[in-house]
Amino acid sequence: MSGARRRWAAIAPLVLGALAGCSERTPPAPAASTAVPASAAAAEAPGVIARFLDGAEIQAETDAQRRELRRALADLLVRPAAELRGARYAGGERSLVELLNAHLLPATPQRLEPESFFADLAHAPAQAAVRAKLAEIDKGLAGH
Amino acid sequence: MGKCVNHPARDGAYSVNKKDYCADCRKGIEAAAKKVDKHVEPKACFVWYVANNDWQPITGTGCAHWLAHQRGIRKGGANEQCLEGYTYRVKTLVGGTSTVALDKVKVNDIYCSPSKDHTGLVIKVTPDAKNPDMPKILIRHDSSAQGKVAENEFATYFKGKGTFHR
Repeated sequence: MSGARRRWAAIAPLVLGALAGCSERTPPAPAASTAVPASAAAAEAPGVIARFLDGAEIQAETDAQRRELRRALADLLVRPAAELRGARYAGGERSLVELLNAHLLPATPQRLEPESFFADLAHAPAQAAVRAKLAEIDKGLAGH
Repeated sequence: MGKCVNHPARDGAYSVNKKDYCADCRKGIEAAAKKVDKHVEPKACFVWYVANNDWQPITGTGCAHWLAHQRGIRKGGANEQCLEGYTYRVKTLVGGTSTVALDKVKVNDIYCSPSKDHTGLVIKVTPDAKNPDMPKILIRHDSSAQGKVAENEFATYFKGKGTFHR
């Protein structure tokens, strides 16, 4: 079983339970990614990642920094947590969590910590917030 | 001195920006300031109170924070100001300002990147007789990419892109 399938298996009862009242059941996410059905995002309370990303101001000085932030966020959607824990960014200087703290300024005082960050990674609101921030970065890069 | 703003049952032991903090908060502030990225200036006030006695460095690059200290800008609410009360968000910093045309830029105007994710201070403007609409503009900024407060040309380092505000 792939990492994505294992993650989906772990959260499927939560997602499908939240959708139980709907007349139409949303099919499971494709096994090739960690994506979670969009409708599930509304069913789960935001965790540490969504709370950090929603309304966070992007702060970056160069296109290289913007692209590195984009790479880190994109990795969150496709790479398993076990890989991401050891991943290095910014020329090897920063971990993924350090990179996000260095370039994102959340709406309220908070700071991402590795333990709670990776525990929240597969949750639907986290994935939705990451996709939204990716779109914001792409819009910013297009203007530079 | 009054009570701690974060722990109302405790006596204040440290005061900054007209707010009192207890001895534990003071320790937390000093410990968090030691973890602030090396390029950030000033460091001592680039900290925020998260919760439950937890003080942490403010996240982000600190570019707006440095500029706010230089210009004495204290815009925004509590979640937009450092411990000393200076603005640390780029969008808040330039909000409400007027955009200045390139040929009208002066020293002390604020530079802002096209996507409003970086900011700096104009420190020198040199007119170009051959091209009066494009003066040579030198910008001082808290540079996370260069690891220090640096001075760079608008036309080269910033690729001539961005806006100026007053």
